[in-house]
Amino acid sequence: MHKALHNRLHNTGFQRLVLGILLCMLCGIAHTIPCLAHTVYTNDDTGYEVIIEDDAGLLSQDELKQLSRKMAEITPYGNAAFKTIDENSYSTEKFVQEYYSDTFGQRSGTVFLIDMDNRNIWIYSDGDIYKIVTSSYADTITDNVYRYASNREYFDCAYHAFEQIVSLLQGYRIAQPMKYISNALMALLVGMLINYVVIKCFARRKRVKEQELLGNIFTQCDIHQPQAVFTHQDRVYTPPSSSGGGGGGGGGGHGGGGGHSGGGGGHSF
Amino acid sequence: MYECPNCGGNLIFDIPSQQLACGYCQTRLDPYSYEKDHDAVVTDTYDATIFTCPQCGGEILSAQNEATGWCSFCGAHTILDSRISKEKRPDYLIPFRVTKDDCKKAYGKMMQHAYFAPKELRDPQWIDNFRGIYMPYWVYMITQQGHSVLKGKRVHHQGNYTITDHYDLHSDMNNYYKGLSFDASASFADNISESIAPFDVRGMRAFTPSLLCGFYADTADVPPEIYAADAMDIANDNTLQQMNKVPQFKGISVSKPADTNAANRALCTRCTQTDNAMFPVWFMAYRNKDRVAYATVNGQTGKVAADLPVDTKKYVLGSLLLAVPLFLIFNLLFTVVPSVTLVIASLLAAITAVIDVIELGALSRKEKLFDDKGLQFQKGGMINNTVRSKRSPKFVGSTYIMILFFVVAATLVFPIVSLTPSILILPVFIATLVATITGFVLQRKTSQRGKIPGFLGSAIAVVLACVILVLHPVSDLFYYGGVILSAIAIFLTLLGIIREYNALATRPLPQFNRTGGDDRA
Repeated sequence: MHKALHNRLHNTGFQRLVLGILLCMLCGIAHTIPCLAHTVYTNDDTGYEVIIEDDAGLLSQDELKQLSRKMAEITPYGNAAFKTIDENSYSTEKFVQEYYSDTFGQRSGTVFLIDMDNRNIWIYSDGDIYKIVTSSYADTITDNVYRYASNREYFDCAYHAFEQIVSLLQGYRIAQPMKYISNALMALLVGMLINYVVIKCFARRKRVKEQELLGNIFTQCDIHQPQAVFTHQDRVYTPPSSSGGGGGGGGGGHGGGGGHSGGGGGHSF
Repeated sequence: MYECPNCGGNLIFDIPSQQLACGYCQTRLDPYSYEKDHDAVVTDTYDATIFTCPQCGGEILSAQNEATGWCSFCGAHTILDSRISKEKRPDYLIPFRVTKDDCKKAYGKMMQHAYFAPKELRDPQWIDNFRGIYMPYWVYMITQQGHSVLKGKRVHHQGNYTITDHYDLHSDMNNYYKGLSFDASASFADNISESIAPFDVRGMRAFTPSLLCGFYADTADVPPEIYAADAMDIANDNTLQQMNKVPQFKGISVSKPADTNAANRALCTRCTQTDNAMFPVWFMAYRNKDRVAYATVNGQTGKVAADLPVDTKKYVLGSLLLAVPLFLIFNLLFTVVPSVTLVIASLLAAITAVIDVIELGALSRKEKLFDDKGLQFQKGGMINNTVRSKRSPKFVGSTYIMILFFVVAATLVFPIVSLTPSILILPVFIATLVATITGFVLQRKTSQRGKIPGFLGSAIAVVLACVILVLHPVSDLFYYGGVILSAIAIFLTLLGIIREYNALATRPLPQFNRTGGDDRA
């Protein structure tokens, strides 16, 4: 019995060792092999999902878990997706629009895309989320986090992007240095030009009109025996323009169907 | 000096009562009765004291012996040399109707909107320097009497043909235009006299020297031939307009003859009489280093015209203050990415380059005296029958419209450019290139020749922006760097524009062909 027990224990220990090695290998492989598309979380109350597709293999499992927890905070408002790609035959914007359409249809949601092919990051939102995370905010957020991507800190890049999206959805403000710097410079330049126009307008001197001038002098204009004598005639052939008029108005037709109301913004890295 | 017959005090012309008044015994006298009482024979000359500025050589005359210690032309505070002289009697004079208080009020009202003018121009003590001066004018009588033949045409369509019927338009003219007036003093710039015009010549009175009491007068130094062609051109224009209203010529468009001489022949236009008159102007000079600015008020109607130089410090401060609300508005409306900011900055840089070139064009025009026939005559002895160019106001007007359009476009362009920023950069680059080449050509024709042109900074900023946008670097710092450099270039260009504007808005110290000097300085 001792021998049998010893064998069982030995087998169990061996199996655990093998299992451990396999797990370690899996973890290692998981770090290098692209992650398959899958829903990692579904909000039971709203039905909104968190989807992670790290096709470019930029994040570790731990990082993906951490990211998914942050992304889950979006699900009270809509779906959330994180997508990385290393091959893209379209523009980043077009890809993300189609990806969103395929993944979430017309439901509320947001996608954060890292396009390694075009070296762009992009946020695309639709539905209720887009009402808050507008294209302007998408530009601002990607501008705030693009430096992480430039430094190959893809997790930090994505994590901070979703963190700022969550902040906006929860009613908080986010830093907008790009907006303030750009607008301050624009305001200064436009202000200087407007003031110049003001100077020119007020310095303008109106030259007196001839009629006003004539109203202040003695005038008499008597034109007697006017007679128009016909001398000759010119005829010039002017055919109607070949460009022609436009066609009639289009028929009725159905109202516009579908289409996205969403949008977003991005930044190269 | 005109003395009160009751107490021997100084008589001055009292504007509200339009009579000579004694400041001591309050006696009132009719100016014309005074002359009859004192001068048995009315000659074609009158006694006057000529005051000469030792600095600029400007001369001003008075019916009295006293003068304040500053020059109306160059603004110098100095003791004026004086001498007694016999001056040619003008034919007519329009007496002052606007009092000095009314003049100061009218000027003060205009200055309320001159936000960037030097504070001295609003200083009540300074404003008190307004001086009543009778400016010499030539008053023309233009007649059109005789048989006139003009060309006319009527255009109509028949099928695929445009048919033009040509006519000879015969008529007998009996027209006159009496009172067309042009300033006869080279020291009184044409653009100022045009700005305070018109004077109602129906209020002219026969000249009598006592009307000058309490005021000064400038002397005529431009011959009457200089503006005769302009007077005839005004008459011709009006007659042609009237001919279009004649029922017998209905539907026929009267063709204006090719040039002034042809028009004069066709309309039998002649200048039959030229009178020398004096018109009332309240006049003030503001001197700043080697420049002088004039403020003038029509002494009959109260119409104001003033050179309005800009205080650069006020302009910069005003721009900073305006930038605050603009910044708040932009924050509500726009979020622009750095590349778009750079495109817009380069657009604004292009706008400033274009403005600078426009100002250079105006400066070139001013320095060539294109807009002032009187001064042209004084400098070069020019006398011809050319009519003054009427392009100037239209050109200036279109400039304002263009600038306004650019500023509005630059503001509205944010959302458009946000979509495709690179769309704008090519036309911006081309516009800047054209402006730069034009600017270099124009600058060679002005006193700014040899100086670093203001538009160059903006042009470099646009080129730099193009390079950055083509290279498309990842880091925002490159774009912000480009925007900041553009902002500095625009700032410097605008300061150059303000400098040019001030050169346009003010005048070099006058030198009345007596002490030399350079009016183009």
